[in-house]
Amino acid sequence: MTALRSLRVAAFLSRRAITRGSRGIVILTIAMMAIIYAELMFVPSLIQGATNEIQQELREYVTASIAITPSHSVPTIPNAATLLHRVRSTGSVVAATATSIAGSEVSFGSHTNSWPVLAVDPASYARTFTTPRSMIEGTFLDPGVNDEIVLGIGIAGAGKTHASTYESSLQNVHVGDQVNVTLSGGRTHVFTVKGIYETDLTEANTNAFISTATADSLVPALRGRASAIYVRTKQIGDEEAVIHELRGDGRHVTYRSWETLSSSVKEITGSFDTIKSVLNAVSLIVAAIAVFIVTYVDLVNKRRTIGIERAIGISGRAITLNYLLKAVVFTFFGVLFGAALFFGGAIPLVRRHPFQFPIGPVTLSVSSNELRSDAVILLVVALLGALVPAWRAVRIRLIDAVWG
Amino acid sequence: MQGSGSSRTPALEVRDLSRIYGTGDIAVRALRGVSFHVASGDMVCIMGKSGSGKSTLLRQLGLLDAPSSGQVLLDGVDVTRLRESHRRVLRLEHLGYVFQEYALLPELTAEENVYLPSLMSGTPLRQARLQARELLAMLDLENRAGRRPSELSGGQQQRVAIARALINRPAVLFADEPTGNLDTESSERVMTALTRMNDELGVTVLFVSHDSDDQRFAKSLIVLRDGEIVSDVDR
Repeated sequence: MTALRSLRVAAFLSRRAITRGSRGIVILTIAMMAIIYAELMFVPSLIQGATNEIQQELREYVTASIAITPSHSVPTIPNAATLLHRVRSTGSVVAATATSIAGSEVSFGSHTNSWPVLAVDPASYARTFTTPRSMIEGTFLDPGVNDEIVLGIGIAGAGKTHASTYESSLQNVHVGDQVNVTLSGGRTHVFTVKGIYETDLTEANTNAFISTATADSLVPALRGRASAIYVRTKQIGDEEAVIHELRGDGRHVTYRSWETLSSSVKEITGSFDTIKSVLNAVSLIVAAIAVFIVTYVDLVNKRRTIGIERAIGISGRAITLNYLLKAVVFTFFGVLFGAALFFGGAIPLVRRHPFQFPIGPVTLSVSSNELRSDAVILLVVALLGALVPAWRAVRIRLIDAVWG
Repeated sequence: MQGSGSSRTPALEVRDLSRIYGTGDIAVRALRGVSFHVASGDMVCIMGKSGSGKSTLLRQLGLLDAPSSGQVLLDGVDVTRLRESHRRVLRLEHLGYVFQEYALLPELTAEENVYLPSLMSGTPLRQARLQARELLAMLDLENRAGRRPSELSGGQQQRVAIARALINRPAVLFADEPTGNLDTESSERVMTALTRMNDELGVTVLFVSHDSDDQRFAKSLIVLRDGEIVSDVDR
């Protein structure tokens, strides 16, 4: 009963303090909370944007949605065409392509290095991956038997001396140049460079491609076999269902989703998460201190008022609740304006002018869970920031509060 | 008010009350064994020079401060050593206190200032507002109910403070130099208001004043000097 009365009086006092008190303090406090909230969301959403970009690039250039690889006992998948047909007829699968490792060394003039030379069906590969649409010179492969090869910028170099992979590349290969490829089995063959591609993912720029038909004619042992089959599903999240459906086949192959395969970048995203946590903690401490200071200054200015309230019989609980309610109101409007600032300002602005990271252009990505948890955390921090000075203020000796 | 014995029921009794501020060499004895009692419905003026201990005495009686020794009894109950939570309830429901500097809450209107203690007591808002308006009307402030303290004169603010002190129908009302900051005309109105509250509502009133002119409003008089009662008169 007393608690309800205290709450009622607290609501009465806080409403009047907010609506009739200093407009400047109210506006500044809400603005401060809004900025803190927007800042709380900004860094995690930037990191999430970068993580999404990395994962998307992995799917687009390296892993697709699902990778099917041989089981440990065999080096390649036999009867790849049958499996490919079965995969393509599975619901939620948009495209699938088989690749074989047809060679492992490429040389041009005095430069030689080891890179995987993949035999691919150009049409299905282009439906599964976006690498064929990332050409910076020439075009992607034609189907059929030919002596054409497509190189990643990490192999060709293409005269781009500033690239991080330039030194280890063939350095100055361009479309029309001829390169020697050591094929599986040891045979060497001369290929004409048909195109050079460059993706935002450095790791994806060190592949060389020849057509499956060409590889089959040059390395007959590869015929009908695949080193891997890559599957593109309709939506992210379909992977496990597709894998579950395909497993019934009974083949000795391993199915792995892009999430499993992206373990190589988990270290990077894990570091991002650590940075995110540290920055969040700093922001929350700043928020707590800011609310504490605002409440403390308010309380110092109102020390006598609080003394008078206590002298006329207002409970300490009501006075403390009054400050807590103010913190709730300030946080509520701060979150509201902070979200408006973030969604109405930061997100469209960054979408128009993305951050240029080495992994490519990064925009902001925020989840509704993060929005909610940031709001709740900010509220808790604001309540603590208000509670401590308010709690202390109502414990000052009454005589000191009124006349001290 | 009497130093000892009375035919009327004592609303307030003070026994050997002392208040010492500080310790050791710098200790100041603001009150030195003060004893008296006040009958219900009395109107007592506590007089004395500056530093005589008048305000200190009123703060002990109003439960705003705790004495170093001695007892304060309200309706025969010793309230001296009560916990702050109980003292607060007594201040809210049984005692009223009027400060020299009005002490109204600046963000509330006159009416809201008056009914705030009533809300704390659990009175429904509509009823609390009605009671506040009645009191303000009694104090000739009905057309100032919606004004904030900054929009009121000193005398009006002090009458609002009196209304606030009376909203929960206290048994005893304490007023610490209620006319200390007012001009003659405003002082007259404030003191008249206190007298009316004493006469019409039957509230026991103890007020502190250094103005000998205010004596005429009192039924009893206590004169303090250096923390001791030097005169204790029924009029």
